Amino acid sequence: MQFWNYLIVRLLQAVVVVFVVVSIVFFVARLVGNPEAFLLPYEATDAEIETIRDRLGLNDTLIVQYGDFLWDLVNLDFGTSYRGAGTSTIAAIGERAVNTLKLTVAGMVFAVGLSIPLGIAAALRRGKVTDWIARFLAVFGQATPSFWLGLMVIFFFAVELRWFPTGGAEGFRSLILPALSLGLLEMAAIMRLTRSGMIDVMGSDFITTARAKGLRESTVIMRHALRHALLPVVTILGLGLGRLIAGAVIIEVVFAWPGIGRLIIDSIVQSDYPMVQTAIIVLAASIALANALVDVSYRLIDPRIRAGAI
Amino acid sequence: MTERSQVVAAPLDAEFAGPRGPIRWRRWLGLSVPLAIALVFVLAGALADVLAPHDPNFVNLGARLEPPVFDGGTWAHPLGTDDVGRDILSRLMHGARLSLIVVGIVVPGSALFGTLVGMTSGWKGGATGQILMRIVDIQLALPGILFALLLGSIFGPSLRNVIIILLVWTWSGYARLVRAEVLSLRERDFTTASRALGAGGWWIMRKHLFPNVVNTVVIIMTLEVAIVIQVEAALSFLGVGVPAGTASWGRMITEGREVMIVAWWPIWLPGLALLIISLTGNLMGDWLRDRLDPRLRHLH
Repeated sequence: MQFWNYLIVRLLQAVVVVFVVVSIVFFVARLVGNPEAFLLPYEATDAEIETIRDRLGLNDTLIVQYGDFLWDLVNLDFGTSYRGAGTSTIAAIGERAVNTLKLTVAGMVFAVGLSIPLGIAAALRRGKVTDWIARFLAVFGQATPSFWLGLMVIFFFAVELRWFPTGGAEGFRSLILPALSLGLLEMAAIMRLTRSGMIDVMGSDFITTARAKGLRESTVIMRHALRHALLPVVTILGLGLGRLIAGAVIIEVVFAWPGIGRLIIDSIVQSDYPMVQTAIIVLAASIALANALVDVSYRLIDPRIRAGAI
Repeated sequence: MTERSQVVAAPLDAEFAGPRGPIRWRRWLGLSVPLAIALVFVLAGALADVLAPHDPNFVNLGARLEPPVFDGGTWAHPLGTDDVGRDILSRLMHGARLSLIVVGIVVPGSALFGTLVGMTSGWKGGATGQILMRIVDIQLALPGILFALLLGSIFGPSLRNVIIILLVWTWSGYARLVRAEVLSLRERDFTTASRALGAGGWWIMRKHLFPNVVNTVVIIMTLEVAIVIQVEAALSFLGVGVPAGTASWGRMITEGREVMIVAWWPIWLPGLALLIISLTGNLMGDWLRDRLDPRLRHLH
């Protein structure tokens, strides 16, 4: 029962975050004043301007406009794009969402898949070559700008060696370079955390006990130490997922990856404001939802939290 | 708990405790190299107007894509020229100045604001503290880049946008950590004693709380430098940072991308500058953290 309460509260918090984002988007947009300027040619007459202002509801008071805006969103009406003969923005974003999701998941898989084994190996072989390699990767992984790294891997692996395509989203091979560029920063962060967590836990009493019982070293590490060391890792995965979704915007531009991020940048260039607005709301909502889900699953994993002990 | 962690901590400390020999030498090198790089960066940026050999925006189509001097170029352009013949060394120096301006405004600004919010919410507790922390939570849950794209799409690219975004984006980290520290400090005997002697909230914050959180704040500020510089570059790369034509490392990378296949230097040099300055900032932050407050090891 306690768990369901928590789930509901946490989802409500996510709804509040989305509401705040939606409000910021609305009020920042209204700071500009003349959205009709995007829609009409320079030589438009006053009557034409007045018609379009009426149609967009710009002559209502701000609070009425805000109410209308929220009501439309609740009804999942996100408005139409300024370009391409009134395409619904949410439909255009829906088409791109799969690609962004693919890229984000691949980045996360790369980050987690490489960082945890490497972090464990580095902790168990402290001061040895493995450890040095891991720490070198961590230091450079955190200092290398992802967009520059992306361009560099395109140059070496796609242009010079021709192992992978230079961009676009066709097949598994086109996913590798973007996922690597996107995940490196997160990889470094998770690796550092795994390594320091393992080092701390390997010195604690219950590990000595486990060894004294005569358990095999692999059992001690996998069953006892790792479960403990990975708890803080799970907590940063939530924020990490958000960072990856945001980072995907940049990586999509570098790799001409047809996702939401690239759609935003293209729409900014074309002054397609409704598209930008909807895309930002969709991304923020998915990040809020991802954070909530990770928090909830964290509760399922850690029995101490489940029992309400901490 | 304390006993156990001390036992665990002992061998860790022993490893770093060697006062002479290679460890001491390495430690000295580990600090003096980043310090020297930071000094070069600050001087190059601050004196860009005087030291830069050329006007960073002077287009010379007769001298397009000249290689750096160590790759067959001439001393007229020590680090070569870009695709419209602008001097890369001069552009790098003016780019450093831009980064310095952004860092100089954003890092102290957000540190001050975040610290004030963190101390107030930690000290006051209650409803004020709760509301402030909910704002911080929302802030942390939202990547600043979305906000950057929003502002960029409405107002167009500008330095002002970059600074506003970074200020709004970075203060919450300070607030969260400072609040956590203040929550434990306010239960300690010396604050209770001060309160018993009749000290007011502002006095306690200034005389007792601030000196105890200043280490944390300085460490985050140092680590924040690299982040701020990288975010400015990333936003400029995306076209929502500084306007096209400005000498900024991010814009230089965008421009270098166009000629990446024929010339390595227009994209490598600003990228390396960015990498080196980020490494420097992170190393200095790590060093300070180990010195001032090893408890903060989980940061970054």
